[in-house]
Amino acid sequence: MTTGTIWIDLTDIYYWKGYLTGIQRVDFNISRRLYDRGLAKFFIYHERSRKFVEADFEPILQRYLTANAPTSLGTVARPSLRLRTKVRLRENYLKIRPETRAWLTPRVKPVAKAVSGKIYHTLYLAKQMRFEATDNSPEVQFTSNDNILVLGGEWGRPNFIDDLGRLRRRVGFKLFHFIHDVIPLNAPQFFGPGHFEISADYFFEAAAQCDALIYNSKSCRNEVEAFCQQVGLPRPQGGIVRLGDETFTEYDPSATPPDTRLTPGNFILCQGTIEMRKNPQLLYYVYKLAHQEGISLPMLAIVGKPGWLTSDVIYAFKHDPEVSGRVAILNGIDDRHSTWLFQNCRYTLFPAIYEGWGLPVAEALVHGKVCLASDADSVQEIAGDLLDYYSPFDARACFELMKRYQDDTVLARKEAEIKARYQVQTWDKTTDEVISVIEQN
Amino acid sequence: MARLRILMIGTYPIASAHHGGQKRTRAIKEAYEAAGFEVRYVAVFRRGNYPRSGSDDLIVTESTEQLMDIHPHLGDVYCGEAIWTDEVVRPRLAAIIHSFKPDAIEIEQVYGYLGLKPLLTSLTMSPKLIYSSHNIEYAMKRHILEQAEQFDDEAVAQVAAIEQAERELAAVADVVVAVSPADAKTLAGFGAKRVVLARNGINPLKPNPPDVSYWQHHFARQQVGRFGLFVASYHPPNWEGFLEYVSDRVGFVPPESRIVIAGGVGRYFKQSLTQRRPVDRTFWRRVEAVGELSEARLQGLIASASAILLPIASGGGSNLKTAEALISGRAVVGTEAAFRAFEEFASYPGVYIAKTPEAFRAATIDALSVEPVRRSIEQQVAIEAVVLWPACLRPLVSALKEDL
Repeated sequence: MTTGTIWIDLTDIYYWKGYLTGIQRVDFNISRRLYDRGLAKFFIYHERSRKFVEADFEPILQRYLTANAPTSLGTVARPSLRLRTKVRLRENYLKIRPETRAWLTPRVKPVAKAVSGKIYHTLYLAKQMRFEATDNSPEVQFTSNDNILVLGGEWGRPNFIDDLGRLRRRVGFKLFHFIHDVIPLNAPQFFGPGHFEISADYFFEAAAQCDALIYNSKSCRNEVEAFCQQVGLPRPQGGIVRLGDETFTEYDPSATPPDTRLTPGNFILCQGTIEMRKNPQLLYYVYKLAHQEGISLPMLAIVGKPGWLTSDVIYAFKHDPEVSGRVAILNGIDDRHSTWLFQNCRYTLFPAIYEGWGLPVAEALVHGKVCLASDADSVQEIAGDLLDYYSPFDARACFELMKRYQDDTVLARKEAEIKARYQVQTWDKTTDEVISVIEQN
Repeated sequence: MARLRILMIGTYPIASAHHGGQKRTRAIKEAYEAAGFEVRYVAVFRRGNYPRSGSDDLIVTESTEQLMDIHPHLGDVYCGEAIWTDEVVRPRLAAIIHSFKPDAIEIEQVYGYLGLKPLLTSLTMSPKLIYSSHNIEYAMKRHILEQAEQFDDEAVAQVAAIEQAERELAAVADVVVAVSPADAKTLAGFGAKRVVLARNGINPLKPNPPDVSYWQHHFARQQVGRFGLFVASYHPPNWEGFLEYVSDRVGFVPPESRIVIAGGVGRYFKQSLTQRRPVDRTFWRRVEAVGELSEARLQGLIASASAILLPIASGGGSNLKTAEALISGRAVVGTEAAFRAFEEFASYPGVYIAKTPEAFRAATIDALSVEPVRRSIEQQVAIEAVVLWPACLRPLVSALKEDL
């Protein structure tokens, strides 16, 4: 067992709004296991005052165990000012005569966007300052016996890792950082402006200042090591843990589908943030191919929050008469509906070009469902030879696989194989592996 | 006894001396003046390249500027040729020569000789010539042009012309000045009759407290503890040496430390490290380029540094930078080439001579982690006796007094 306290950074999850997605789920589940075992203490980082203060995990636990539409603890729990302002502006905008609107839109929109971005950012900072000013939690007094564990995504807080590293050098504690992926460094084209820069800065300092890194896959470790070599950093210490994929939400057979177009066994599920990297564009081409060949594929349910650089493909899905009737794009899905989708889909698709891990693949397998996945490195680490893969750039190959799985016998045989061979990883086991990395380093 | 009149000719002004050539030329002029010689210095240079110039300095006209635009690395060649070819420069320099009536003309680096030779012939004058060599220029120029991928027909012809001029000037000059024993040997091989070895030196460092305090605040704001300083001009061998020995992969620098680049060479890194590659971005996590500084600010910076870095990969001259580094009292991390002519200080505390890039980086880490260097008074005096300009130029002044 580790000597010294494990202090977990909760900053990311503390300010998180909405349902937990990939990184925050990992953060939450490992923190929760360590909290339940009484092995961890928690802290958050006050960005304005650049202090690390003690935090309580219990409110976070309650928030995500009970709330249907959780809000950030660090902000006010009502529709955001941005949303309220947007709605009000839109209502007034629609009162303007259409021809005036047509003239006005291209002239005003870019300016309005830039100004609102700045106002929003200022308000966000003000809100954060207000929260930090009223948070009277004591500053953490780390000791040299402590182990500090960063599980979340802190790259948006430019001084976080520098301040923690400086404290580490002064106090002498051990610093561990979970690395979920380094995709922005290798594929900056999948992210908005500025993301590459903040990611490069952050990962450089994380690799330089931590005692050990914890990876979710071999491919993630390989990429971090390649990055370190490129920038002249020594090979980091660390270890790989397998992410938990157990499901906690009981299936409720009486639950209604989240969309009336989806009926049990008659739709294909593709879950994950809708962004270019996740490759929804490939699915668009697949459904175009199906239309060309007169093959009727099941309804496709794309479930996820719209992310970077996908407004064009979402528009195409919604407005292409050959495709729109075959696709449902859903977001804001809670765990209960998510479980319904996994339980009732025919199979799942995961065409990602590049992944850190690929949690939806593991989730499909946990539900005993087939996942037709891309051959991105880390995705193959989840299921090995249990699944059929295709290149994320080959719509034809994906389409051919989907045609094969139109056959109920083929599908049933594969599902039986999954149920027999796939071993669920519990979050308890993942937590044991995290502790093991800490102990070894 | 009449005062010895020396006209010095170069291709850069020395009113404000930043790069090595300027500093050496200015020190020579001051040493001559201190010895009682009457000295005038004429720079033939391009407008805009230097912020300050002297009253005798001559600016080349547009026709010469056009040549320099095509071949920026041959600028000093064209300035040298302009002494004869430039319609404005030629008569003005001729007028200076007529009025000053020098006993000797000293050519700083070889370039001025390209135009001065036909000018002296046309003036039917034959003053004594002093060839003040700073380097074996043709070899270095060839290397620079090759590295810049500009070794075209014009460059080939000009390098050949420089070599011919160096050989000829070395052979005809009454006194030839070399900066290192190796250069002295080469110049003697060119047929030089009288070679004087006058190593590069420096002026004593006198940092002003406000300048030191400026930098202390600057780094305290960034929470930077120690830094290694690299001072260099915008000159290909400077960034080549840095990239070879330090590299752009600067993750080896401890998080609380920095490498600080002062001088024009920083411009190269700002211009070249612009792609969306991790290395282009992370370079600036450990490196800061502070640009070209006034002498006072630079001295303040040197006084604030923990180590001076001398990643010098090539070059035939002795190094002003090494002398400055040694006298600064900071740790010095240098290559074998950097310590040429200063080998006697190799065993002094805080002196690291690295044979390989790996050793250079390891020495940099070490120099940034250990306590500040403590040299004895005797050691400091021994360094000063070798590196300060008066000591370095004494053989030259003596030779002129004897020979001219």
